[in-house]
Amino acid sequence: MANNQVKMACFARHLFFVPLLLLTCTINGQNISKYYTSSLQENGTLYFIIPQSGFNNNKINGKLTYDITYLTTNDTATLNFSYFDMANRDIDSVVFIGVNKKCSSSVKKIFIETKKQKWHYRYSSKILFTDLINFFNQSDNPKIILYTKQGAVELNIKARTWKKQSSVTTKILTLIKYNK
Amino acid sequence: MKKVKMLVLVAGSALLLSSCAVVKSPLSGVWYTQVKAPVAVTSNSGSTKVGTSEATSILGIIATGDASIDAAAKSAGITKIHHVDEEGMSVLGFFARYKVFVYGE
Repeated sequence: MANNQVKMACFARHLFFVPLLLLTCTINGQNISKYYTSSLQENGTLYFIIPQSGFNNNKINGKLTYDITYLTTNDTATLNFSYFDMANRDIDSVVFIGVNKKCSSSVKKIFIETKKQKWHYRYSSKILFTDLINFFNQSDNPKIILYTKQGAVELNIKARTWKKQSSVTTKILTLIKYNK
Repeated sequence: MKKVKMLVLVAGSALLLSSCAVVKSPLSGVWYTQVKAPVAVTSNSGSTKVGTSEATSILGIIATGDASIDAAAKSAGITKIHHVDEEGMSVLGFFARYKVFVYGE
């Protein structure tokens, strides 16, 4: 009787893990095609890396998601980001801090709206394509700092999230570089 | 044993009573779907910006999000739309996501 119970429990547990394993397989397979789109234009190819998240500030519960658009004939890529925060802020600039280099960019407001109890700040920034490659091509966790009139907001990313995010994005950026 | 039977009964009932999470897509797979397809093309020329919007569904019970063309265009500050694509993604009927990509200037 007890044996049957154990067998049933094990079976139920395995049933639960099958979808999780399937999901893990698709994630670790690193099929980068689902992380970007490309569109042929008159003046080059327009690449779009879909929104990524992971940069957070746990103290103030601030969250940042970003996407990258790059037209191969340009030197700079457009990095649009959404920042969610409870506080009222006027964002002036954004700084990407890596191990060896940091690059800053002024930002342009797209819109600001409310989302539940938080503010949704949507801004656009320009960053050199080579700086973008350097930023993602580093194993140590980088930081993003938003400079606002109300003070600086430091956003950090977990090591595991960065490992996956940097690996995928670096692969896409390398692909873009080869096809330029 | 009673607990396990109860668990199987509840899980079974939940699966039978709830519908699967389905997503709009030209083709669909039972195990996994990820298909991109066209929605619209305009006569506007060139695109330098791309915006996205999405909606998600869990088990076909809860579905949230704003996957409108308007939301996607707004996210990238697009005022002239060149073309629009959509992407349907679903996993085993547990999770489904519908995404809209708007290209323009």
